Amino acid sequence: MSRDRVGVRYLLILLVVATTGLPLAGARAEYPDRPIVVVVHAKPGGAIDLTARVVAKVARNYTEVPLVIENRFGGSGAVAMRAVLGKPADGYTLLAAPATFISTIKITQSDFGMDDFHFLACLTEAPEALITNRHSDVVSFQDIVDDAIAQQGRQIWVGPGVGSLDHLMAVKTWEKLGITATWVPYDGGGEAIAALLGKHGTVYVGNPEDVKGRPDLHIAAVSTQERLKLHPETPTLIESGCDLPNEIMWRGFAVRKGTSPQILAYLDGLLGKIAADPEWLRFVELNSAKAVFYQHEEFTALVDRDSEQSVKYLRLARILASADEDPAIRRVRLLGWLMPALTGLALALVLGFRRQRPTGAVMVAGAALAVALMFLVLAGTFPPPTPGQSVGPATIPVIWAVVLTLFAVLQIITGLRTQEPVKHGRIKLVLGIILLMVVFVALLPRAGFFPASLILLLGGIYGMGYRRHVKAVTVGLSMLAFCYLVFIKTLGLPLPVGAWFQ
Amino acid sequence: MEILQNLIDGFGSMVGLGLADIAWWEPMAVIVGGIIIGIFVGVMPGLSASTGVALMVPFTYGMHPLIALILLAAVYTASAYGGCITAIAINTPGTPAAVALAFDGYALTQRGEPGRALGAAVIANCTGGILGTFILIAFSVPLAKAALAFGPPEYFALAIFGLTIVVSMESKNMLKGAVSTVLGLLLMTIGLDPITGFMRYTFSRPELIDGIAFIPALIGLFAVGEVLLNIEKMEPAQAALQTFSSKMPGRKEVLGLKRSILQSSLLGTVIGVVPGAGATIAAFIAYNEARRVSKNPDEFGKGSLEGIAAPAAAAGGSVGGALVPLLTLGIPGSAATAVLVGALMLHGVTPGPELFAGKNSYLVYGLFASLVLGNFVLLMLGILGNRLWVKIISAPKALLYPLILVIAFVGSFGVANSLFDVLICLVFGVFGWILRRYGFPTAPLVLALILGYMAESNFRRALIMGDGSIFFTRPVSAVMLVLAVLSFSMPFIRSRKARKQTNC
Repeated sequence: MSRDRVGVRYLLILLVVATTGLPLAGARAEYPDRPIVVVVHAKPGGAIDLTARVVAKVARNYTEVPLVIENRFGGSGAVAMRAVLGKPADGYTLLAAPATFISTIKITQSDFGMDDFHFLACLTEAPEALITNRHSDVVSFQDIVDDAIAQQGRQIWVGPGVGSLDHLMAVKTWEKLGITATWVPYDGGGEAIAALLGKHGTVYVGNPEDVKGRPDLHIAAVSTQERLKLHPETPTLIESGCDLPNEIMWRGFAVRKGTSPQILAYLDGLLGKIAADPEWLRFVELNSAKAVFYQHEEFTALVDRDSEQSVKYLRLARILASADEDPAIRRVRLLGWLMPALTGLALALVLGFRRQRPTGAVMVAGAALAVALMFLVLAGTFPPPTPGQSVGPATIPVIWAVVLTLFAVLQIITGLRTQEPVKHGRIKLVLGIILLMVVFVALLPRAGFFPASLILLLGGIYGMGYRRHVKAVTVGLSMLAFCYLVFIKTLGLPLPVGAWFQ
Repeated sequence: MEILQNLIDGFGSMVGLGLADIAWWEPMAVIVGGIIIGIFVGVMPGLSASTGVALMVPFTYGMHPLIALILLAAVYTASAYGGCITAIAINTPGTPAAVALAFDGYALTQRGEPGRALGAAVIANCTGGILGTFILIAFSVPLAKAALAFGPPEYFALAIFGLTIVVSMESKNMLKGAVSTVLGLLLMTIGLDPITGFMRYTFSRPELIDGIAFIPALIGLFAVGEVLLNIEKMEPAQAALQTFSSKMPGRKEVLGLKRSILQSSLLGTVIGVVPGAGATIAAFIAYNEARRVSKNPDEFGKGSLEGIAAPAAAAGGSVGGALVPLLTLGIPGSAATAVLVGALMLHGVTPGPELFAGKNSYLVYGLFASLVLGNFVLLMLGILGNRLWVKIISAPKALLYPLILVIAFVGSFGVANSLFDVLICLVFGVFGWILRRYGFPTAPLVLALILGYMAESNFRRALIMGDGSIFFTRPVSAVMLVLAVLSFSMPFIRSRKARKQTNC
């Protein structure tokens, strides 16, 4: 008895802990009256993430509410932009916007555009630069041009990403100089610099900050009007006869369009104070970028200019295809969608013909076959390789799909010939738990994390036949308290609160 | 000799000698704190070493640069071991590198001996970490030069070599293993084409643009799949509780592992040096090599201590390896060291070769000292922690399994704060259960998910740089491809020999 009473008291304490974490929906006071979320598209620790975190830290000096960083990476930023557009235009969700978002929207064929955002202010900029390896034969800007002409298009330029700002910078340079070269994209600036140092490429496109602490790197030219103070010996591109005076990588902040003018004025003022803060200026200087403060009009003009150019150069880089689609491709796509059904039908016919019941291994192999055939047919809708190159987007998927088809068919034949021992397990319980998990995933965005988890925890514990009630509920609530304290309070994980309660 | 003097100064700085502005207890306190945080980060599926280090960065703003650096390095060091704990205890690798540890580690747990597995893992991991640090101190410059020779053809060859490990992992049912592997490779082609940016198989879902999120899929395949598989086998009567022993491996047993630990530490450090290859591939290759040279290769997969020590040592060694390009070239060798770069920049320190010479050289030697000390602290905490972990997994299964499910889903969500990833985790969980129920192994699928992108992107890059001959005219790539063919055909030749012998 006494043990149970202690348990009940413990339960009550936990209940209090668990519920105090739920946000109370109250009357809205003057903006801002709750934390402002800054959505960042990069992983924690990336350049833009650090920028946003420093902004958030400095902002504490000027505003009552904290700025909270939320990393929503994926799709080169498409996920983050969509996340901001999915929230109301109430000024509580900011977007940390880098210049690369322009290309992202175009490449991912998104159903939104840069004009869905109101650009508040641009805080940092860094000029684009052509960087070479001091220990290679191609060091100066003139070397690059001479080598490019000698190599007849085989000269290799490296940098982060495909269609990225740096990629477009390369394409622009080639166009202005009338040379040709080849772009080899890497997964990040670091990997591309390693490739340059290892002489797997001739030119790296990046920013002057990339040479900091790396004495083997040399800036061949930089896209500015005048020479850089930190690198007075480095020529500008205009001096070198390449008319690209102002190619910059900018970073700024935006909100969803339609935000009220009072809120915009507040945020403008806040960002203006941050832009002049000594701690902020020190951070930007340490990162070799340039601190700027372009307000709405100037910033929007910059975005518009870059957007306009990006389409042209993405086409030149053969990344954007023409918009209209061949009707034949649509038919191939339809066939691809039908492949799983056709595979299932064929398998059913074979089984019926042999008067056999399907075994598990045959069903799994059949599913693999369906996926393989679907991917194989859909690969027919992919564009052909870039002229002059032997492999394209379809090559590798086609290879894997053909090999998988082969293995899956072999496995089906083997499976049909061998007897499989029938397993007797608690299959109903497993299906019950799967159903419980499906309910959890469905409830997560609607009811929020805590109710959904409680259902999963208690449903699971009782479903598996556990009947000591106090212990079961204690464990369930302790887990929620643990999640609240560790994940939400300490790590700042934005676990969903639930649409029903908002 | 100068290095030695610098190192002695480095150890001195760990008790505040020569540094006026830090208290004597601060460095050690920060190491212990960082190790504890790191173990926790590793234990939580979804929190990888890089996320863990990144989450700590804001806390270091106000710190002395040396203290900030050793805190982050301690978190990084310990998260490699933390991932091993859950792999052994509940077959849920906390970090991708720990996948190779789950095979034998979990097998031992199922036999009721998690203490031996955890003990072997922590000893191997710390030995690897210390050896890796010494390699970093002594050979960082030549190693970094060698790493630069790795261009796209070499990365492709490394990925292919890694994939051949599947053959030796799955000798029971080759065909089913092959289906799993190629299915994984095919699924990995979902997302933006790495070279042209064309969207492949994304079905207009923005969440699929970067492909299937690897960590949630991994958590699903292992954690959720394992729970479902166990529930199916669960006895209705809860009375039959399995007892787990927290007994550590004996001295003799540990000494018997020295060859596998040494070899794997070296492999882990060297592969860790190559930027982007990282701890995961190092752990798999070390596992495979340990099995190849082992006297009892048949024990592997059934609870071999060597099979636990090898990937754990490699994961430990890879930490030192990943710091080589960071300190000598200023290029991060792994996702976690990439975060370190950002953090150092925040403190006005630019990582790179100039760090050794300038006024900040005390940071480098302080870091070296802290890595060595950190591994000793980790060893002690790891041994102490054994009882705790064993106690947790001794809880009634009906309580434990729902908790694992919630942690798995939170971890999947936390990777990118995405509800879609929670769905991925669920789908791959059910998928993993079905696969394993019918004898399809999931480990080759995971290996394919890890290596598929690396293989394709570098294959494509290499073919932009030259024609198909590029893979065979470059020595490093040619040698690795030959090794891959050997590694692929070895198990076949061996089983044929064995058959011949029995026939005689």
